[in-house]
Amino acid sequence: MERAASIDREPISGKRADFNPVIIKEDGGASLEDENAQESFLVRRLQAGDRQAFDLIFSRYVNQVYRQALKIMGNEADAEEVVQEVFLTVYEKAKGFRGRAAFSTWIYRVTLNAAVSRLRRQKKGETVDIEEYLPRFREDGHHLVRPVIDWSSGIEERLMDAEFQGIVREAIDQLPPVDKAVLLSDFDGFSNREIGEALGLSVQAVKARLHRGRLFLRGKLAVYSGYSPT
Amino acid sequence: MVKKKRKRQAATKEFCERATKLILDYLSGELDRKTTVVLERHLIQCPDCVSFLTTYKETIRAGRSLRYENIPPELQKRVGEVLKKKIKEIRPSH
Repeated sequence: MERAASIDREPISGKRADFNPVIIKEDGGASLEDENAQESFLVRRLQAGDRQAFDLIFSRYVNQVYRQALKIMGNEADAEEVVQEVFLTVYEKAKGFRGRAAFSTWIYRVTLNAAVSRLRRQKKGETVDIEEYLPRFREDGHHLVRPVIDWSSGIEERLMDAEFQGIVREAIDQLPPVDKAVLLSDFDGFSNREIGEALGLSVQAVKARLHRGRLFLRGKLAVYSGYSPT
Repeated sequence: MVKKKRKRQAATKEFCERATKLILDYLSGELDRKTTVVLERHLIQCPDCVSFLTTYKETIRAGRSLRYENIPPELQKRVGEVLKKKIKEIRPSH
């Protein structure tokens, strides 16, 4: 049990910085309650059609929406289109926001759906052989290629390398739109339930797509490191 | 004794494929206790699955390490202006 016990389960805790913009007052005294109250007020003004409130919401969320769009679309031009679409939707559909989830979560959902729809239209007909990079097994259930090599040593340094980051991005870009959205949302720290609610998938379906996406990315990185994906 | 050992070896061999399917729930702590014990017993005996698990975890780390730039100021300005125009078209009275 010693070896297994030494294996950390979750390598890095999920983070939600991308969709939790923090407004800090000059005196540094802003509390979470202040921010929530400020945001609720802005949302109510927006729902009443106040353009100034819209401008403030745009300033508050534009970076988060842009980054999310850029991750999924993979280029600035498409990300720009998504940002426009998202904020138009925010303006037009704000009245439909019931406050059941945080406003930031609602914007995350709108962004995710806008980006996935656009990507689907663009990728129509394109297919990538994902299976090639998934693990394979012998009839007896053992890994097809043995030994399985741990190619991850020194990954900390490689993560700083632009080329390696490019490989990771390129691999993610090859996933089908929904799988890509699931994987990237997981990397951003959203829960399987939140991802499922945003994309209209069951938690089980999210988990299946997430696992497949991670395995595909792992396979790609294994091949890049000179080893078999299995 | 030999029989027991053979049985254990067979179980180890058959378990790698299943172990791979359990990784996601194992890492998020959603795997039930009984299956966790079985999986961890397997990991003690199977260096291949330990390597697989390690590289799977590092893949997650790699994905989470990606950084993306904020919107360039000129792009933000442009999008803001386009939106103002479009919103005026939608609701000219406001």
